[in-house]
Amino acid sequence: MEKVRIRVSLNERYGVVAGLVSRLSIATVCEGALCPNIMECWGGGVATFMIMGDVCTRGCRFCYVRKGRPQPLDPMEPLKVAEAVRILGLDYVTITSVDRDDLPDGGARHFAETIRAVKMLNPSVKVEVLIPDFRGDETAIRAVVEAGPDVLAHNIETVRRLTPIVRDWRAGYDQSLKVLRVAKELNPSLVTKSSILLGLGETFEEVVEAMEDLRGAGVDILVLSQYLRPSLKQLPVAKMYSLEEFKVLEEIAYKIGFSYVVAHPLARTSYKAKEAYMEAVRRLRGS
Amino acid sequence: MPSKAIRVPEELWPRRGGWRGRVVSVLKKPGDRVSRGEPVVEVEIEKAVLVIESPYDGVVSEVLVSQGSPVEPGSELMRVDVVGEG
Repeated sequence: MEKVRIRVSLNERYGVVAGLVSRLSIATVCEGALCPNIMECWGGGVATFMIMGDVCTRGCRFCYVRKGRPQPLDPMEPLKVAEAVRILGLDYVTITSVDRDDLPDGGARHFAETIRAVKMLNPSVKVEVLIPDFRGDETAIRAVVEAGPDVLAHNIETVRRLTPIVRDWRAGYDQSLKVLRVAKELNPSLVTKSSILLGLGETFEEVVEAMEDLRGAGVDILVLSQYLRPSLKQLPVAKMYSLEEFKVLEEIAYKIGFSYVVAHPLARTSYKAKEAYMEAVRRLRGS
Repeated sequence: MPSKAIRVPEELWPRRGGWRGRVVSVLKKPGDRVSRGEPVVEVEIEKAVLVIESPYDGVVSEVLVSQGSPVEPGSELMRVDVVGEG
């Protein structure tokens, strides 16, 4: 199976982002997941911050983020992220996290505090959060929604049949749909977003079903991307999708009713997030 | 002309070292001119093929890897006599 080729080109801005996140001790999913887009994003002065540490309590079998016993929460982290946004001069920031099943609220309050700190220090910034499922806890979801993110993303990751194989046992296909549905019900003007990783062994029909389920949960922005095996510890790639196949799925997704679709092998949830948000809002307002 | 090393960049995924790869192609040999930004070595990791660029203009003095060589962040790939410095 032919692998994607990544040009390792590290410019000056890349060095600035690397230095900043290291100095402030903020984890990034760009590093944690060996993201293939890191050169483009950091080189363009943007990063996706990963809060609540860099160790995840879940053991999803597609993910390269470290797993195990996580560190205690850093109470200064919300301010550090806010400061990083200010220093980088971002007008759109994407924030994700590890799962924190060890915390009673799954880290929802910390997530909310981070959103508020970023907005307080950077009043005009748009904030996109990619949240855990909080095991479907509506109080936790409410805490995040009420902090006022502009986009709330939660990833279903794969189709219904493969969920028990691909994701941690505490995750669930219907649970993830519930997270997205509840967030939308709490704030119908909130833009919601979800991603499906392709190439884990799903059928075409199963992908279409997952897209329909996401749209049924009110999701506005859909991201379709190619699964790339990070190391031998993760699941093998079952299929590499062609650009034409991505195009076909993108067209189907628009017919299903998503406001905006990002469909590309190297697309990731936060990749070109600002552009996706702007276009989704334009279309939502236009409709 | 100072001699400098071209390495597998440690700055790539800087706080997530520990990934390993192997060289799949060496695109320059001793005596070849090389320009900054020009691909010199391709390294395969599980996730992708990384196309490593030269950070310098110069002449390759020594190639330290061959096809199949195991590498990791920081591994020296070749040495270059750098033009315009020193």
